[in-house]
Amino acid sequence: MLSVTVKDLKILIRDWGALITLFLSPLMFIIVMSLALGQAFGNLGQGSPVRLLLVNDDADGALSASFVTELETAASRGGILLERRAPNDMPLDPATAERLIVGRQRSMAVLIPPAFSARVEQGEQAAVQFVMDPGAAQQVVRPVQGMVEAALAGSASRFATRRSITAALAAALPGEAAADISQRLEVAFAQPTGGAAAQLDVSTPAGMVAPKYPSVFQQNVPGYTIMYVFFIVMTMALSVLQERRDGMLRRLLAAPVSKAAILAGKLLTYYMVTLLQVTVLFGVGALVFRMDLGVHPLGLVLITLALSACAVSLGLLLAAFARSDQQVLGVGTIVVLVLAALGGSMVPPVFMPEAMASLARITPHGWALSGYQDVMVRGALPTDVLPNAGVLLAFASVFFLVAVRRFRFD
Amino acid sequence: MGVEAAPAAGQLATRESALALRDVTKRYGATTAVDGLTFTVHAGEIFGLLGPNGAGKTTTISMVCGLFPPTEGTITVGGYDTVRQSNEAKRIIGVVPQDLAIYPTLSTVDNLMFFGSMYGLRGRMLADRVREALELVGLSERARQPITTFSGGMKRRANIAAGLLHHPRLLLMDEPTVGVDPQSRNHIFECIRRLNRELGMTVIYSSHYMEEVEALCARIAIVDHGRLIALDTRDGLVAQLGGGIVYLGLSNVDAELVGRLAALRLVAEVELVEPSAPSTDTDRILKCTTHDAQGALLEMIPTTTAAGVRITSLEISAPNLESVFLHLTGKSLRE
Repeated sequence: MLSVTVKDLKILIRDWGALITLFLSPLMFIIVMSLALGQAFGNLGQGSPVRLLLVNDDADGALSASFVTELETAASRGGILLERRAPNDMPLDPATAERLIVGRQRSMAVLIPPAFSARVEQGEQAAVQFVMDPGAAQQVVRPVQGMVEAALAGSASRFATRRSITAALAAALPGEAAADISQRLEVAFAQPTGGAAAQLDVSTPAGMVAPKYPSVFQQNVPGYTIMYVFFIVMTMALSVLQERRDGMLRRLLAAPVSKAAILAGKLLTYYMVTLLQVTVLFGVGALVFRMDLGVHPLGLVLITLALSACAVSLGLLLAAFARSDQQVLGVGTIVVLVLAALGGSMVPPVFMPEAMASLARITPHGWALSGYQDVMVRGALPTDVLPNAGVLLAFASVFFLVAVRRFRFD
Repeated sequence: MGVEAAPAAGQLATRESALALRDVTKRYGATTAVDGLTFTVHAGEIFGLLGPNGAGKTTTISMVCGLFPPTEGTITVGGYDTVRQSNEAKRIIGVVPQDLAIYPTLSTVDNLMFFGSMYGLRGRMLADRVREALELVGLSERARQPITTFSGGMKRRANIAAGLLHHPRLLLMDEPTVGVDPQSRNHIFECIRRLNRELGMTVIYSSHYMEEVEALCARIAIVDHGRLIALDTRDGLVAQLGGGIVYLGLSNVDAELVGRLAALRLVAEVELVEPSAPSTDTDRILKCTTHDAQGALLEMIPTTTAAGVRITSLEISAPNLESVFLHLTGKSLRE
């Protein structure tokens, strides 16, 4: 059996095409897709802050000051970054803000016009401008717009209330006393409403925790590793077909070795290759891309052992049914790519609609990927991923049993 | 000679019988590939299996190798039943298949190391046997080069070497010279003779090349449509034709003329056959087996002239295996 394994490894080492497919190609995919999707993954979970430009051309105005203070408090609570300067640290003016939005460097800006407070003080109609990129995601823009409106309404309301009280006091009290109280009122009303007695208390149901999302490498490294582990299906089936076509299998059967030993030797070769594939790709992920392997990496080993068994069994199944190289390449490519797409290797399940994401559960890829990510992202123990390994081994058993029943040596 | 767990000689049913087939039949559905073959190959002989493509030679060899069992009948190799004692039989059989069943991207050494290990050879013994086989087939100097760089003849020699490593007592060679140049063919022949002479290997040489079988084999089995149609030494087979066959095309033939020709001193047998192609002149062909073709012809001409019959065509078939096959089956080996 080991002689078959050694021989197959020697053949594989000389097959540059297969080595590129199994090792170099997934690395290229991981690098390219990680660079392409890095930003999208960055928005998962904690994400990067939403940015809001603020141009205050009414710096001396009391209402503007109150509005800005209110806005700052609300933005801080909402995780929104208020930017008063341009990205190049130049001063921000309305034209620059608009240029940044047109250039899609920013998506929203609040513009307070000159003499805004004075005009409101004089009872004129004055407006703060909210400028937005029409292409910006509405689920981001709308809450920010609401927050700006609330801050503005709060400030304006307090401003109007203070003005009414001041006017009433001026009519009712002597000049000095009214002026003193008015000054105190002005200070008091300048405070944002956050410190008020009625406030919003944010809480989560007991025991409920925020989902943890994989980083771009925690998705792409296991995802493309799984996809390319299954490319062994075609390498293996092509090798079997060539040996069958060239009479090698018949010649081996003429030797005093069992069919089981010949098949086991062949399976062992490709099993070892897939283990090496996973080790190399995860190794590069961890060492070069600083991918976090989780607290209990032993779970990764369990998933890998079961995943490799599943892949080589599927390879044997394809070799048992295919009658030509064209069939191997045609059926193999469809099986490998479709299963990878359904299983979340290409598009992360978190980006998929719920129904689509649940389809991942019918593929070995889905079980392997969720197992890997449970270990790396969610700190799962090796025992926690035993069900994943078990399902993968169940897939492997079915593939293997059907393949052995159908396998022909000539 | 070092073959792992090789059966003891005392276990052989008869020391003379390296291979015995008894009423061996192989059917695939309605098709009968081998039909009641019975013959024995003696230990130490080079035995020819001659027949056209599709005659059942490869199927017979595959059954002897134990690749699949016969539908009916029994095959014993060195006394071991190839079905019930398959592993024991396989240990004393070496196979050189018709296909180039060697790994093209590996070197000859890597190929031979692998095939040797399949027969239980290990370590120094394996290395020695590989060296010996390479020397035997004349590939020592190219041993480390991949098979893909070899000529057709060299590939065939590497294919042969892979079947010799465990020093089989019975070497089965299925069309081992297909596509090789004359020089490589001679090399292969010399190699087979050395194996037979120096190592005492019994060789079964299957081919549809009459000249090869004639040149190498002491005894020859002629098969066609899965049936054994003749088995003898080369001289014994050719003797069936006496001094050759004269095919006489005549304008008119009647029973009286056939009788007169058959009664001639140098004519052994006369048979009426159909012409192979339509002819305007020839309506009947007589196949005359003779004791001496030239002498018989000199006797025939006066006889036909006296009968007033014109000779429209004449063909003398020299006595060789080709004419034996033609005589027995009515067709050429290459048809």
